[in-house]
Amino acid sequence: MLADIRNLGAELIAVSPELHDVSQVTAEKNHLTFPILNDEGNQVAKKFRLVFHLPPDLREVYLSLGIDLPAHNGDQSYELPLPATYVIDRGGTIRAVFADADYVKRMEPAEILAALRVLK
Amino acid sequence: MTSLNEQLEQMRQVSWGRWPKEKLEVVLKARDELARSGIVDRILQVGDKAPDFALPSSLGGTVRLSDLLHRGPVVLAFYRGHW
Repeated sequence: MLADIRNLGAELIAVSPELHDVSQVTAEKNHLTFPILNDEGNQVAKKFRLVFHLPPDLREVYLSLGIDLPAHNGDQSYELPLPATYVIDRGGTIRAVFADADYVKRMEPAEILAALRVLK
Repeated sequence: MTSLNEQLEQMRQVSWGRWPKEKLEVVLKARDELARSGIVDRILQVGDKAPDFALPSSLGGTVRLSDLLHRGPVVLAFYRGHW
């Protein structure tokens, strides 16, 4: 997938509020060769208007499942970005977007590549 | 070929099968509330300018969106975390 993106002259970057010592584990475990960027305090995600607050009962459930967001993200905000994929052209204009309130849904790789082909 | 979202849905069903019902209900309620909040309709959309940013990279140094865009289009993926 990454090779397909680069063959179309594009680059992939991932952004999350996780501290780097946490995301580094993700990068190494999955042998990632694209950058994961640390968006401390979701400052960039806020500019894309993606940020929401985790309700208190869900915080408890996550904690019981071993997901300690304050430890992962380095703050007590319990704010997260909506998972979202943007395809941005050279001029900085958004040309494709995918986001869903259902957190497992993602933009299909084929759709990403189709959007990039239009820009080639 | 199985689509990415079909694979993700299968993974979700496996993990949900291991969760107690009351925890699952909290997760589902939060998901539905988020959908009803209308957040998806308010996010930056096709045709909007992407705001420039510079953030520290897991590969070292700082990545600036506008620098990448000088070289070509960018696929920007926001995600919640590795968990």
